[in-house]
Amino acid sequence: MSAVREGARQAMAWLHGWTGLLLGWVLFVMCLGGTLSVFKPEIGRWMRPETIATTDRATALTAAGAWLGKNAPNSFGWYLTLPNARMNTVEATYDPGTGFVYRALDPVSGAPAPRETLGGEFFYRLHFELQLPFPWGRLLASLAALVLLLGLITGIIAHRRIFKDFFTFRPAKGQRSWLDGHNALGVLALPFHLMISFTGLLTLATLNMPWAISANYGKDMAAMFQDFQPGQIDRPAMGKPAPLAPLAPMLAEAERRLGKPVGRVTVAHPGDAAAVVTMFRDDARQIAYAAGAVSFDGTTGGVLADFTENRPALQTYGVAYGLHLARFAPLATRWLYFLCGAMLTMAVASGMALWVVKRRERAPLSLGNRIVERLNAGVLAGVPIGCVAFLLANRVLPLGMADRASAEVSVALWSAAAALALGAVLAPKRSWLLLLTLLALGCAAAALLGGAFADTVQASVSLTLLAAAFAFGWLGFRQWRPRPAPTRRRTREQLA
Amino acid sequence: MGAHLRRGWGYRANIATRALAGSLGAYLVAACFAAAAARTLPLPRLDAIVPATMLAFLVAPVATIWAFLAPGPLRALGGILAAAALLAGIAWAAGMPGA
Repeated sequence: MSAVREGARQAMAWLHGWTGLLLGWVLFVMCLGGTLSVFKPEIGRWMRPETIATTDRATALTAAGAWLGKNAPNSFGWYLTLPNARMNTVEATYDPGTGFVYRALDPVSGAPAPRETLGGEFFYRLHFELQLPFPWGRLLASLAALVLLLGLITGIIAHRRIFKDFFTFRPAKGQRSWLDGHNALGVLALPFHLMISFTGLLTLATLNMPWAISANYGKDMAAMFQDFQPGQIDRPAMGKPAPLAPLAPMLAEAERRLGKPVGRVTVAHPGDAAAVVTMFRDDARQIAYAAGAVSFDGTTGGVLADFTENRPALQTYGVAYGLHLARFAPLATRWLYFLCGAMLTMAVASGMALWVVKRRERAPLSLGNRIVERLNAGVLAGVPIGCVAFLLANRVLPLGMADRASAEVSVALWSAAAALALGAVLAPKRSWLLLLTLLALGCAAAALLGGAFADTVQASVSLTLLAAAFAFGWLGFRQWRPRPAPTRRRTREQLA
Repeated sequence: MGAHLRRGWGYRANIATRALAGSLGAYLVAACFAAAAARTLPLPRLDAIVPATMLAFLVAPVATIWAFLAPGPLRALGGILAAAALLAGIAWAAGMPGA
């Protein structure tokens, strides 16, 4: 290999390391949240074990509309996801007069599930909003996604023997093992990693790369959205009250026109004379997201617009978006998404660990790297602890308590913060052992407290938690087990 | 940027310049590329946005990488700024498409 190419490779390794260090912890949170979001509806069902009723879409939509009409009549809009094969409730975002909330509505009564929780929506929002206010969370997530894409490309360039390392793993050899593990996790699912970081950037493009839009539309975003989704009519409220027409006939008409089931329904200005009901094609029926829409006048029920996406460029966008959301994916594909996501999460985590291990084996760690070492324990073990605490809080907090959904989130955040603090004050060897043990116990407790082995979906979530408990327990055990003294690299030469 | 360079002020200035060119500079190039491509691709004005934005997400990391591979830090910064200026010029010359 020529000197120039070797220099370039080193520069890329340097860039890979530093950009990874800069946003690695943020990426870890995003990857973990995204991986769990693959099973967002299933986690939601596990978190609402009392709500088991199932009905058809029309009945559920009518019930939700009736309940929202009484309890959120002045909401700017209602944003509903109808029940489907994966989820029995209506997922609703609406404003009951105190700001927008997210609730799962019982498909029969239309009222929120008694166990008030964000369910899988928590992990979904964490994935791209990072619990930060708009737009900062999404901007930080965009920056991290860009760094991930850059990290993948620089990682490939820096990599000497990509296909050979595919099959290389040298366990229990310190830095070498971490590097092998990091490479294998990155390379084995590389097409997925590239796809998910690129399409992830695209989902937030109106925020993070709006310059093509402003180049062609200036500030006229309304015109852009009208061109973008001609099936969705946007008009201002009149300020004149008028009752909403029955929703079930609109649903039937939309499904007849789209030729496919409806997945999402939005009602703009409910109770106003200018109300608009828009029905979107179910995202599970094709890869593309929002592949078609029909809008109705909310008071008469008459069709205002009907559009199925057929423009190649926009179809490309829809497919790229849909590939990221994976709502199209049947069960086996979802598990593949979950597995690849877990590999990416572990690739990020092992990369962060590698930063420290590599430097620790050469010389005593600098102050900065000692902080990285402690933050690694706090974040890499603490964020999963927060996620498990969220599930535990779901089972432990009383059903009728005020602000129950936010209380669950608070438990998650405080648990993660406590883990971060432990990671900061304890010696890394001890904090890893303690935090991994806590994580394993938390997963096991959530699985057992879950007590929801009645239905296959809930049982699968509980079993996955048990599997996680064993995996984290094993990792913890490895921390506790005394390590053999590191073999000197020079031994062989000395013997010779 | 190998270990042969001493970690003195020269090295730090080198890294700082390249980091500036590779972060804000690379984003600037990607943004100008998105605008230029959106206006020049032979597509309706909405449709053109999609490939323009998608390609911009590839231009950004390529620009970042180039900023760290260029022969010198000033050439890196200069090259990035020149590319941004060229693309901005193309976007400006093409003008905003009508509805």
